[in-house]
Amino acid sequence: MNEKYKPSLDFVSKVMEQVHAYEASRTSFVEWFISHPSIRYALAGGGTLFGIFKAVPVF
Amino acid sequence: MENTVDTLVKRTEVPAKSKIREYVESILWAVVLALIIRTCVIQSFKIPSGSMEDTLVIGDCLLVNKFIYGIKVPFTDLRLPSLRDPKRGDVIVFKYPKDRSKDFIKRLIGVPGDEIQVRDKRVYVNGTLFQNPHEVHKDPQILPRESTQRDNFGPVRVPANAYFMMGDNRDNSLDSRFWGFVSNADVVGLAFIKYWSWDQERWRVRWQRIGKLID
Repeated sequence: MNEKYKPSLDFVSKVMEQVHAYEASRTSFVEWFISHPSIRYALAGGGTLFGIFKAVPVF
Repeated sequence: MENTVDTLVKRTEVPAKSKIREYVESILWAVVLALIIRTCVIQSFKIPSGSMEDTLVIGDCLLVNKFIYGIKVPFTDLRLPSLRDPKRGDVIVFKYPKDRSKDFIKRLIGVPGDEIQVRDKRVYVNGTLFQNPHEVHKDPQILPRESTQRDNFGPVRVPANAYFMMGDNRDNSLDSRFWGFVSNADVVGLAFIKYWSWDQERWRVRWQRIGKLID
C-alpha cells in the first residue's frame, strides 16, 4: 500500500472536528425562518388579511 | 486578539428576546390593523340563508362598506359624518332588531317619511308601485291578510331615523313586514361586492358570481 495514503494517528479526530465545525456553522430552518424580516411581515400581513376576510354569517 | 473577536461576536449576536418582541409587535399590529379595518372600513360576511335570492345565494361571501353611512363609534350609538344617507334599493347589513347579536341583510324599501304598503305581493311606496328588478316570487299563491302579512301588509309610515327592509326572495324572507323597522343606529353598512361563492350542494366554486357588484 502506498505510504502516502496511510492515515495519520489523529485522522478521525481531525475529520470529526471539521464535521463539528460544519454542523455548528449551519443555521437551522426555524432560525432562518424567524430571522427573516420579510417573512415576519408576510405573516403579519397574512394574519391581517385573514382577520379582515373572516366572514360572519348574515341572514 | 481573542478578546476583540469575542467582543465582535457579542456585538453581532441578536438577543433572542428581541426576536420574540419583534414577533409580538407584528402580531399586535396585525390584530389592531384588522380590527380597525373591520370596524371602520370593510367587513366580510357570508350568506347562510336564501332570503335575498337570487341577488345573494347561500355560500356567497361579500364585503360591506362600513364608512359610507358614517363610521359607527364602538359601544355607542354615535356616528361620524356620512358620505351619503341610505337610499331605496340599497342592500344593507344591519343588526336584527329582535336579537342584536345577529346580522341581517335586506334591501332598503322605505326611508323615513315613506308610506309602505304591500297589496297582493306588490309593494307600493307613497302610493306608487315600487318595482325592484331583483325581487323574486317563488310561491304563486297569494295568502290572505288574515293568515300572514307576507302578501298583504300595511300601510305603515316609516318613522324618523328608521328604515323598512325587505328580502329580494319576497315569499321566503323574514323582514320588516314581520318584525318592524330598523333603527339608523343598527345599520352596519352597505353590501357592495361578492368576492367568493361556494356551492355546497354541487361542491364547486360559482366563478361567475365572484367579483360581481351588488346592486
